[in-house]
Amino acid sequence: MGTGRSSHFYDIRHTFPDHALAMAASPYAGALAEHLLNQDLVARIAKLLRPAGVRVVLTRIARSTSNPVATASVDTLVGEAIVAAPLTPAALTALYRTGAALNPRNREPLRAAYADYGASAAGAGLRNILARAERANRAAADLAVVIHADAVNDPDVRGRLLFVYHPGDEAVHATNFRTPPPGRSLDLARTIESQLAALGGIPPAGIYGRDL
Amino acid sequence: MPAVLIETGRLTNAEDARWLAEVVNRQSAAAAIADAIAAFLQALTDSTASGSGN
Repeated sequence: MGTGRSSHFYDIRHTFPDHALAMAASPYAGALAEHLLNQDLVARIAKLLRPAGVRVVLTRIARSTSNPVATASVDTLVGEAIVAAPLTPAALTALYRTGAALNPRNREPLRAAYADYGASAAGAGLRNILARAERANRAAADLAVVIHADAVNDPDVRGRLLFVYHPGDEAVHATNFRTPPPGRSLDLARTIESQLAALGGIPPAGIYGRDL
Repeated sequence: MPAVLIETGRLTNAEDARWLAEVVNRQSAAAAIADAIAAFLQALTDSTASGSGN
């Protein structure tokens, strides 16, 4: 999902006109809307986790409704409180870019919560993610799970992808996926992938590292 | 913190989209992710309690 997307970027011919999660307006009328799909999944996940005593914090505060696949998904953070350190967007930007913001419990960079700029590193997408990142910091979660659905120009390409944070590449939505670095994020990704793979349905397309 | 981004499927692919359009599949996927999160959090808690965590 790159930047500068036109209003009619994808050639989506399979539609679900009466589906509750479908886009209502052209040019994608009837196509599944990513933001609605993600919201649906996250709501289901939260509904399952909360009775088990897991605190779930949803960080998404703005969404696009003009494209079926856009800056339109919902993020989920779960876990127990670790730290709450309100920061200004400018301070967050500086800290994340230097990797200097640390979780005081495990000393890992909080930059891992810095996911999905959206359309523009300098525009609304960045402000949106900074606000979400601040929410994440305030929530001080033990882990972060970001729920998206993907789109590509080739309609024959399918599959589920998982990404873990891989530092060192500031390019957002780069296509040069990397071997995921070892660590707890990869452990979590493998745990999730194992559960999802058992369902069948959508095939696995791999676990990769990327500067989220 | 451990962080994972899941692209649940390709909405531009008809088969992926059809699978995700079915409510029973979305519920199964949500349960799978919730189970994985719960298991991971439990392991994290156990690790911290035993002193082997960060």
